[in-house]
Amino acid sequence: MRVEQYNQVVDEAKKIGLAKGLYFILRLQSRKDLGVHINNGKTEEISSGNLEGMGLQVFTPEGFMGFAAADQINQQVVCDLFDKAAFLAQQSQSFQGEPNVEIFKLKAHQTRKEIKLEHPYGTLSLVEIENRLKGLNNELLVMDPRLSVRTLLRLTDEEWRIIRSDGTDVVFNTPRSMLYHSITAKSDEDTATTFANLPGTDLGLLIENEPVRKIQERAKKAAKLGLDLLSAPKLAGGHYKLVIDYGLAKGLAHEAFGHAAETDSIESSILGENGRFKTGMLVADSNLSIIDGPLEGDYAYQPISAVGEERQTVKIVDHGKLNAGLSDIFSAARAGVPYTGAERIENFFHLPIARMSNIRIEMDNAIPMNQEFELVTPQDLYHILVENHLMQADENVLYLAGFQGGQVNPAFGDFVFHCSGIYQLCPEPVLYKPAIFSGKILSVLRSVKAAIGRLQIDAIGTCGKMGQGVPSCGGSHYFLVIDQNPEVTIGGK
Amino acid sequence: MELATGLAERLNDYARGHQDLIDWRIDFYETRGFEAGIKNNRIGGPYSAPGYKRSISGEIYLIWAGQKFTSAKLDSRVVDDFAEYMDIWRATAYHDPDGVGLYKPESIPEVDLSDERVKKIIDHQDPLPFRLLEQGLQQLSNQGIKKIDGKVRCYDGSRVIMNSDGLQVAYSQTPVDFFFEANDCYGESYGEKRWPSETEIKRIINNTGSIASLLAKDSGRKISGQMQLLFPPGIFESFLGQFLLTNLYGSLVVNRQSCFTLNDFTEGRQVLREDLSLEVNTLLPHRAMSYPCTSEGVPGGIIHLIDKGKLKTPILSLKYAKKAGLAPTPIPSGGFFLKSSRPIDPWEKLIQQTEYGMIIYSILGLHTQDTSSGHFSLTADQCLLVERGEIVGKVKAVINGDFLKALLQEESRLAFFEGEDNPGFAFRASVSE
Repeated sequence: MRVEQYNQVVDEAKKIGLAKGLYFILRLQSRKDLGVHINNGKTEEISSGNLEGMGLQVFTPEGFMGFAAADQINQQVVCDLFDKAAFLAQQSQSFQGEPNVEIFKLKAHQTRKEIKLEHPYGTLSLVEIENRLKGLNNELLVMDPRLSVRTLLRLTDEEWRIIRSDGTDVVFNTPRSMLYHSITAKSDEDTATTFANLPGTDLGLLIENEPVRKIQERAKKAAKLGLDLLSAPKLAGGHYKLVIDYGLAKGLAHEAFGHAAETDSIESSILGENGRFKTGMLVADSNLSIIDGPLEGDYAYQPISAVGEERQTVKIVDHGKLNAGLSDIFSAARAGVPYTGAERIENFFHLPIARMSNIRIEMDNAIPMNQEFELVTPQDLYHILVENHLMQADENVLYLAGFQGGQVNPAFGDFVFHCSGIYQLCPEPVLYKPAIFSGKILSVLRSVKAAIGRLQIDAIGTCGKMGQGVPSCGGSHYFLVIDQNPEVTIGGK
Repeated sequence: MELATGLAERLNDYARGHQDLIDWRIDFYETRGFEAGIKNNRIGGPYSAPGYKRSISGEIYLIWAGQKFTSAKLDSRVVDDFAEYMDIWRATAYHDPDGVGLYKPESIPEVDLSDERVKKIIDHQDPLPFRLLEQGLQQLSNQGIKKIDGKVRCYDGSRVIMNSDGLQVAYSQTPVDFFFEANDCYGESYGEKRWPSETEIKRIINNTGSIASLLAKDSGRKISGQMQLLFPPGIFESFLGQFLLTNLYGSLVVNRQSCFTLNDFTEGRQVLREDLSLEVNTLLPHRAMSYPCTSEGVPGGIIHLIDKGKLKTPILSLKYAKKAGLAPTPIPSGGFFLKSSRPIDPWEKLIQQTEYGMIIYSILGLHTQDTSSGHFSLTADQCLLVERGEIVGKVKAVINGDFLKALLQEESRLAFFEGEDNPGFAFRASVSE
């Protein structure tokens, strides 16, 4: 990998660290990006970019820290960065900064994890990529003259090398790709925008039949939803029995639980008490578990943490009980949980913080479903629910479709996420405009009563925290059924 | 500057040997800076350690024969590895019948964006950022705040915009921003291209502490139905950015992805109340939103996007100016001004005159809203209930409404805030628990 060519820089850092008597973590990153943007059948832009640089985190023997980063990798720059970071670590000490010596407890290791791509950039010519994307874009445009469509393909070839002064040297790559449609339906009276996307690791998204068919199905569904939303009424706000799709379930796991389980903020998290993680607390039905962990080829793949340790797969909730936090080295012991290697950074300019990777809700005894998720209609869902006694034929149940993002305040336990559209389930389901789904972290999971279908864990997003955005992914079974709860609200007129 | 001129020389050399490269444009930005923070009442811990960062970034735009174009990011290796980069740029050139050539500005205005005090901080000659963090920590603790977070960032950057037609604009700027947040419920921030005055620092720290203290007292009320929503300027600006400004971008308007059409602009459609105007000014000294010209070489200045409530012009890059048949505009960069031609009352008076309302200090989920629709459905998680002109205590609610329609309504009100670019805003909307 490209980051393996910088042995002289690594040696220089080790030499300086030894001479100054300072512990350090050096992070080298090399990233190449390609973006192809099609707008209403025409190429809007093709953009390329490289990002390569290093970040150096220095620790005094007392645990005071300084950090320095630059988008250049060479021996002179590593010397400069060391001087800056060492000076700032001293400044931190003189201004009564917060020391932390946990990093000194890690053991040295050398690890190399490389994902080999089946369809790297170059497998298709740029013209062929453009033509295939235009084809996908045009398929939607011709559906209805009220539609306009932006289509984006993004390829990221990213490599990391993390070196610690204790002898640790790890190398890994996190390649990812993403195909995305933003579909706007517009009438004289109203406008609605819906989305469809599919993650991958490389150009396989445009080459292999299965992903192409899948994005086509998702896009058609989103386009039809956008058109239907133009004439959809607003729902009356309130508390309802709900069915959410796996994209929203990812939002639920991520916003409602994942963030609150990150131990770097456990002092103020609703899942902490006196700075300790509330291990053992009953938070959900005994069939339900929430799991976070790296999956090879996943959009949010992170096999090694940003301090160079292997990232663990963590059962945050194990059959209804709070089991483990997503912990970084600096906060794990303080929070009273095992260290899980949850550190991530957006790029080498940043300091590591605890983050999720792929987070999913799994339930025992999920009701099987043979159809593919993309082909399930609201009518199908209604019939499955009634047949399995999950709703009465005339019960008022809402189906929330399409995840549009979310947010949480872990200190107060409030979370929200937004959907693309809401169906009232009945023999002829009625569509309503989207509305916010909000609630209390500690209430909502207890109301999840059933799951339908296989696990589908490719709901992607970008997770923002403390000014850093990292790829996120996850999901659940196709659908989760959530009982009516006074602390779970659907906004509305 | 050295890298920019080095790259310009290589591009000119290349163009002399390859006639299919017709023109080029580059925008180089070299920056170095300092950051430090407070997390959970401690300065400089593992998540907020003091840091020094330097970077070289930018954009290049190449114009090739046959309406082909290259758009790419620049980095520090571009001059040393020019041949390798040129191969990539040539390989990633794309055909765009709507693509445009270079812009020839008559002149580029000047605007002062640099502060010597900031440069000293970055050279470690002045520990002002640490003192600022200490000041916030101390004052907020004195106000009874239990959990304090904050961050300060200072940068010194130099930007060079050049093209093959002889355009050369170089300027330096010193962006500074800081914020304090109290009890995970309320924070205020500063962001300009100069070190803040003591008055500004004290105002931000004091406001953070006093509003967080008000939010610590629960009203004990459940609220629902129609009520007055009171948006302080920060929340109002977030809504204006999400639902109004986004819909003014030419690329969305021309491609039918905005709630406004090109005809709406040519016909001057009324989208705000007639006393309201929206303008951008990129030439105010030391302001965060200021710059002398865009990366395409379009001069900065004042642009009226909406005048007397009527749409005037979309925000237009060169390409979309050509497609729209209109003049290119400066591009908003982190700031705008919503102005009213009517006299407006101070914020305190608006609160006193509110019979039943809610001041909203924090919104969860604004980024998830469909910008093209104008409808919002959100959780307002940090709010103060107002009854008969008095603040009762903290409430939380789900709010729903149509923000763009509210901007047209006569009964919607604006309120003046000292030291803010934009007013506060109040309108009726639906609220549920």
